[in-house]
Amino acid sequence: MKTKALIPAALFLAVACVSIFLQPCSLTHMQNCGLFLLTPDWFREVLSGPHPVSETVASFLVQFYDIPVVGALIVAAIITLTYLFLNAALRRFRLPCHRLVSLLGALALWFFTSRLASNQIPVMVMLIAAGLALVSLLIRKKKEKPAARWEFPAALVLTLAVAALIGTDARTVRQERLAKVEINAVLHHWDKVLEVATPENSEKDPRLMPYAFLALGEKGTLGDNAFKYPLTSPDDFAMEGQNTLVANLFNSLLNECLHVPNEAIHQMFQFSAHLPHGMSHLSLYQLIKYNLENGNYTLARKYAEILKHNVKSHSVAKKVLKTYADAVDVADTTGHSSAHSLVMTKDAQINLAQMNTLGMSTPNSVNRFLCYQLLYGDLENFKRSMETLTWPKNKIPVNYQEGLLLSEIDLVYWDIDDKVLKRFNAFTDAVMKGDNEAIRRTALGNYWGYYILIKDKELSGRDSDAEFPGS
Amino acid sequence: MIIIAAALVLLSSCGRPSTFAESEEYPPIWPDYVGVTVPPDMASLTFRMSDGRKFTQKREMRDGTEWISVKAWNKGDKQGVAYKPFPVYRSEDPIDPYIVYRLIDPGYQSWHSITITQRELSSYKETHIVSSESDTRGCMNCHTFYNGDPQHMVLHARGRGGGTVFIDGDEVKLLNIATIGPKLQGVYPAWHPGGRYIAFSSNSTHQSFTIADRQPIEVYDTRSDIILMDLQTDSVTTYPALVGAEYLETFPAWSEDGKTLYYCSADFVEEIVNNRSQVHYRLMAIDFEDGQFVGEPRLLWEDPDGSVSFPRCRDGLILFTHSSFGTFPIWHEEADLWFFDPETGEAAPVEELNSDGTESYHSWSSNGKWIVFSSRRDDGRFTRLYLAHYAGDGHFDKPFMLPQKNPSHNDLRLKSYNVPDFIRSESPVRQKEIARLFAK
Repeated sequence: MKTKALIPAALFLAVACVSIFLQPCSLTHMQNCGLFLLTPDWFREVLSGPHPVSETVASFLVQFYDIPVVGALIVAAIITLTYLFLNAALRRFRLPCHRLVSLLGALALWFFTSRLASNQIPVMVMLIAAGLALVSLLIRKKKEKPAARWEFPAALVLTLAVAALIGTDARTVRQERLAKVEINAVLHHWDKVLEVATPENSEKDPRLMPYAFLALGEKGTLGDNAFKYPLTSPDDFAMEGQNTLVANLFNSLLNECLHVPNEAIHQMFQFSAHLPHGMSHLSLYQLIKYNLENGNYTLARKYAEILKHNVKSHSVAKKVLKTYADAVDVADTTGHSSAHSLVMTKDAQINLAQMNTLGMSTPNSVNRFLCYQLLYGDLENFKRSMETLTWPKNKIPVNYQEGLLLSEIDLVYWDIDDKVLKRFNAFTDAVMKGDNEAIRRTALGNYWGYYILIKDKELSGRDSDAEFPGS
Repeated sequence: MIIIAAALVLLSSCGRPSTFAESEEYPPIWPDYVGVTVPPDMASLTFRMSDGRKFTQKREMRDGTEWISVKAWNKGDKQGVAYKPFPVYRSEDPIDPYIVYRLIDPGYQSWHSITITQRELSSYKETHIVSSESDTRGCMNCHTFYNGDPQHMVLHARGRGGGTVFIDGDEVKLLNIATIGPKLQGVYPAWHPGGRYIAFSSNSTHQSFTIADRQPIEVYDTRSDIILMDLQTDSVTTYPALVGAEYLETFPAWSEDGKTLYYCSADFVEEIVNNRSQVHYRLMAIDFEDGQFVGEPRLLWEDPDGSVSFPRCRDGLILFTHSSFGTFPIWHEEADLWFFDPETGEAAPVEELNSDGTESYHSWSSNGKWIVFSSRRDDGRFTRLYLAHYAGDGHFDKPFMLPQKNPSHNDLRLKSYNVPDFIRSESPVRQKEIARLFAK
């Protein structure tokens, strides 16, 4: 390989490796949020926008980002081409050290764009650099000076330094973690969600917690693990009432899992409204899925017809259209007429209770309801709810046992594990003695720790000593 | 040349069967244009086979009727089907050259962009008059024109810095009606035929999302009144019988002579979300003389099991939307268009216009010979526009979907059509002028 090709080759390799190994889910997330359609409305909107060319190119490319290798190669190509165009232009402008200056430009672009959730800016910069390179052709070519010996090692060091910077950048790491959790939640890969949404990672990024609880709920282990997470209030449990891109996606997935398609669709539209085209590849996929699950084949076909006009998803959409070509819409089987059907409220607990009234409860929704009661410290109602449920021998989830022990239960009637009881006795002893270190130790990672926290909050300003009904 | 011509012939006939079985049935096409009546200068009606088959068509004009012959086949078929030619009747009644509508995302509480758009009916030309980019993505709604004149327009912009935009020729101004007089916001407008006054309903609108129901949303008002704006003095007044918490007054509409204001009114209901089925809007009227309302409101028609929305008067008949309850029929699958005859005091559905899906907002053309209305009959979620010729005596000819240059555009559009109205000439694009109002 010629020495002058070493810099772009190293740059390409570095960007591709970092993208594929450290940011694969961020790339997929970009694809999820982007939209490219060969439809008149799509082109009309883009062409009337402020950056029609870069947006068209960026949107076209982003549709392939969900295959991380392809996405990484495209990102690497964009950054490398930017370097090559810049270098071609600066060389003609006779700038000294043009290779290093161009590399610095490309590296800055890489670092900056690694933190973005869109590929439009790098594409735009690449196109501007291409324009510069074209303009520079007007300048007479001069014999190129050979590169100084130190240039290539310096370029390599710089590239590796930026790669390391991106790899350890807290914001980029957080972005990748959240993207990984979101993508796996979309796919219902709950174990993979829990690999990332751990209590430790949730300390650094509380946005992971709702996903952890959703995954635990779907796996049926919510009642055993919820309070291992750094919960500080009921708000940490979900993203209720929030209207952000992250929250709307989560709320859509949550309602999908709870089998509330109306709300799942509602939240998917809300999610889409934050995006540049008011719709995205993911939105279309999810709307097809929700409508199929809901038996609304007419609408599912409509969205599939639209998705068919996406280059990457054409064949998937065609398959959906073929499979459901003759499917007849399922009539409303809920038996609830619009006039009397219950409506969503801003209170998750009420919504879950209403689902129960409608006979729509799932194991996940029941567990979430119980967790909310614990989260609000509503031990009396928690105990009553527990009394209505039947638990197999030795199967009461640990956090629920912890909640029951605080609600002054008669131990004869409840199947409390000896280990939990022993821990509880140690905890109450510590509370009675006012031994803060022992309280911290015995309440760590369980419901009692959370209970102390909320009671402290309630009592702050009056009396810092929490009352423990079980003590 | 010969080779190219031969190749073209080969290509055009590629996959097409050589024989066709004659059918006595009309072709199953979408949109359904079989036997519809169109205005004299309507853009050509384009369609596809509803089952996706390939097809050819031949059009022939005979005695003012266009006859369309369709031959259809599936890929690989040895024999196709030659359907019975279907008629498209050309009416002699002219139609206004443009319609204006709002394009909005069909779902729910937020949106990416809203445009108020015009469409030339003799072609497929569509231009945005204004988009929500101009008011920093706030909601734009309820545009109205004085007598179909695009030089006189009113639209409401909600959100930060919002208000009502008044356009009078080149003069464009933004007024926050909520700060004038009775301090009530203007929502649904009705421009008096004399041009000086606009009656607005002032609505406090909310929406709820159902947990489990085919109808996902219910939109309702917790308070609504009717106010009157004088455009000469920029003042707003109220009339005691049209304001107050006891009744919910909404959807004002003037009679053609301007002497009567029609509107809808329902009793206020406590805890309206849970008692929404009890909200039944009646059709009301009140007299208007010398720039003010006079006398007591008159009940024209009521249905204890139904609700009236969007009364629109023409030739002594009132066309309105009937739903089982409430004030937002577009989400009600059962909503239909009905006629009310003030002479007989009776109302009945207009069967020719209605379907199993929603029929809702509607407007008359300036000569009263055509209507444009919104319907969700095609997929239950996306609102599309239909036009229909008024045949007289309370009857319409078969309605037809607003045609597009490529019929698949009806499938591919991700927006709903909303609040359609006719205008008599092309509207200037107002984007920059309106954006300037919101930049201040």
